[in-house]
Amino acid sequence: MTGSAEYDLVVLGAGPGGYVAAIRAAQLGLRTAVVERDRPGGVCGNWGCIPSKAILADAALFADVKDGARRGILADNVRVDYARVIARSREVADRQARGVDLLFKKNGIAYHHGVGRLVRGGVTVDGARMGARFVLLATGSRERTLPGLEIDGEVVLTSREALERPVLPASVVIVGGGAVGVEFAYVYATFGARVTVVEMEETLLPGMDADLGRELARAFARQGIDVLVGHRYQSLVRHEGGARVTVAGADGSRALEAAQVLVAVGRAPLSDDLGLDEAGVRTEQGFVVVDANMRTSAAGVHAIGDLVGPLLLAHAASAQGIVAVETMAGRCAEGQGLDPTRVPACIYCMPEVAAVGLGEAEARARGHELRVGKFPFRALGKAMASGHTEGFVKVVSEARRGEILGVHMIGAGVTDLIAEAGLARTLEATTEELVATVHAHPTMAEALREAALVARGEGINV
Amino acid sequence: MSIDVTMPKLSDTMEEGKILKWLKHPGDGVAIGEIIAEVETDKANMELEAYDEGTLAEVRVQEGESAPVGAVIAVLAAPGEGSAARPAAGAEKAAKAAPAAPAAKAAPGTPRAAPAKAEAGREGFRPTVVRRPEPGESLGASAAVKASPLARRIARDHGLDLGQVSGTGPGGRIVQKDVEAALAARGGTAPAPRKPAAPAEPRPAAGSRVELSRIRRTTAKRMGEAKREVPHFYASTEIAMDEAARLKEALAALEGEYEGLTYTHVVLKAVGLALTRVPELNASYDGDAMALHEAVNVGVATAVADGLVVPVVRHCDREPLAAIVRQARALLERARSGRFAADDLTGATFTVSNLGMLPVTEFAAVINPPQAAILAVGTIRETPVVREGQVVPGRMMTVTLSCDHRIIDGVLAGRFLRELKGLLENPLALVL
Repeated sequence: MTGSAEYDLVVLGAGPGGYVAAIRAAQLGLRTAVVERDRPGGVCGNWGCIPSKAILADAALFADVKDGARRGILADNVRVDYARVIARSREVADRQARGVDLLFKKNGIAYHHGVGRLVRGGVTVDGARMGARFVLLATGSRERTLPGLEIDGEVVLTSREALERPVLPASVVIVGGGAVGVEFAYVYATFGARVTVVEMEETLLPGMDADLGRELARAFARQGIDVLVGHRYQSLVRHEGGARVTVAGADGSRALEAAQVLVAVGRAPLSDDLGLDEAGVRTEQGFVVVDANMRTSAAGVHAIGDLVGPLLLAHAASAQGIVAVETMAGRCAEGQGLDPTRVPACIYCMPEVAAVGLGEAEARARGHELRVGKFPFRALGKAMASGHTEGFVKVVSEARRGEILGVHMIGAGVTDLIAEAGLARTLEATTEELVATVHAHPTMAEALREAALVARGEGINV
Repeated sequence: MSIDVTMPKLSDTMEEGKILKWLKHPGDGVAIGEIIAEVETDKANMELEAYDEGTLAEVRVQEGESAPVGAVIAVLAAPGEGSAARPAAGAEKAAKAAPAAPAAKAAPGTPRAAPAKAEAGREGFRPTVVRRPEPGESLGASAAVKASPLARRIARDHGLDLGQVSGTGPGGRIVQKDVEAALAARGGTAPAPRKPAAPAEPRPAAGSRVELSRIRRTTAKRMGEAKREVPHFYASTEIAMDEAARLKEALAALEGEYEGLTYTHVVLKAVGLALTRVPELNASYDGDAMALHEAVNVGVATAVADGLVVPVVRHCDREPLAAIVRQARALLERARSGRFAADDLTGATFTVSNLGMLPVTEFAAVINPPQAAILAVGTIRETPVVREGQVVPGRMMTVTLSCDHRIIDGVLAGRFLRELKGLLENPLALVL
């Protein structure tokens, strides 16, 4: 691209991928601008991770208080003001967006509100040209839906509308048992709605170790959530007071009545209006194709995050953004990109779910001989004391050398426990090092060490 | 029956070898592929592998002594022979399993430990040349090396010294893939590390007297002889490399088996095919005869820290390009570590010297006897060329063939260059 460009780097999109990349670029001395058509923070800050976690935390608090009598904490007439729950969630999102804005100012990054488009030698923002040596595409993704499930924001919603709608439905059918589906299932059910989750695959949380989805389905059953795995959405008929959803399974089809239908069937990349074809940026099914250093097929153009798939995780986008920018600055070795088996995935219903690395079936499919160790939280002192005994930690290790191929957790607080497993993967620790690490007692974190012991055939507390 | 162990010819120029160290002693069992001694040759320190199994009965050449190529240096008693012979094969299997034993012991004393032991046994021997610590390097050096626990475990399982591995992790930490790359290079089966350590460029102080390395002394002697004995003549041609460059880039983009493909590899394949079309250049002058070689093995002049070595890429005529890439990369890795396998430096029938990575447009090389010719390859440069009456930009490369005029005449040289030029300008034949 041209040598006299206005900027060294223009980032399209100020989500968790784009804003982190922009700050890293500024640190490395690149003249950097960010173009965002909505507001800083992206889906994560505004319509995903952060606001949904606010609602989930409120749901968990409500569940704990309701459950208090069992533990001697008595409260009468505990109710939810759902409009307030939604309002607090929006306040948290607003604060998050302002925080990103401040970081741009602090790092001397130019922020442009508008719709960016790739052109030769840079981008245009609402038609105005902006020259750049490098362009980083970080425009993210939007909610997908299915034919017949037209989003109206009242009866049929995606997570985007659900995060804003201050009305708690009496009954909900959730199409899709992935991360978004199960989180909303927990929220709605905890606050009193009748919830049915419909998942096409044979377990909840497809793509993760199957034990996690099975355990979550058991926990959901105890919470009164109906889970229909192996069922496919067929059709929807709107009527007074909601909709009738028809789903089909191996044993025939059935109709589900609900006041609200939440569509949680994944996300589609926002790659349509970026001028990719003209710029020679190759895509596959809408996702931008990149190499390990996040380079697209067009010179000087990199892409990260949901736009490149398939991880669709905020922290993956941030990590890829660092790789992309350090590659531009000549600071990232060739091929030293992000290893997806070192990227944790977390889900924040109760019990929480967290994993990093290969699931048991996937590890076997790759030809590894395994030693698998599973430790249930019910055998752990801290879990019993805190009253959160659901779930387990499962360590998938390679039989010969104890390489930690994957760690899979379900239970209270596991989204924080997974960090230790991530560090173990990054450091190429084996079960021997996990076992040699003294874990404080009593903590939930002991479960990871215990699971590693079980994998080695040395379990102490089971 | 006893088996004589003779001093092997570990390089084409080797006349005698010095036993640095016996790793096996009389009475020890020896398995096929085991390293029994370290030998110093004119070019490198090499490790002597056993080609037969048995019990070492007698050592005829002591440590520090030299023996000519072909001389008997030790005697093996065949397995089961004599009362002194221990059950060699069994003992060796036990010894082989020993390095893996700590792993099995560290594992829990439960039935789960069994698979680990079984795996260790299944591994069997691998007849490869094993790197050993440099003089002065203690075996404990690995402990001071930064390496991940998994990398340490893999290295220990394979008896790999981590001191010999360069790390690509944070702060130069050795991680799993570094060890796997080093093992692959050792076995010569998989891609070598991405960033091989560049040979150090010694900068002797002006006015000082620097003693020649063993390699340099050999080179000095041999090149002097070659220029005095062999009547050289030279023939050059210019080759349009546009198509070859396109092919190389397309293949390199495939990664996989073509990972690390260089112009040297492309030239090696073209030379291999050209030599089948003009076999008179794949020959040696032998008094009153000309020996035509069946195999087409091309040596690649390679600069290492203390001089020049010529590792040999075998069967450049019939090996596919991907196999040539694999061979050449494994050789380069071993060249840089200074630890060649026994036949890495022997059997070349032709040599290629490529200075294309430097701004050398053309040069003439000295023949490496008894070979009859050597090809000197210059850099690829962008230059105006005339095609169909038009001046267009082109990528040209000049090659110069040095020939032994005792057996090769100018017409043969020209015919070889015509074939080589045709192959590189229409390079599809190189991958078909």
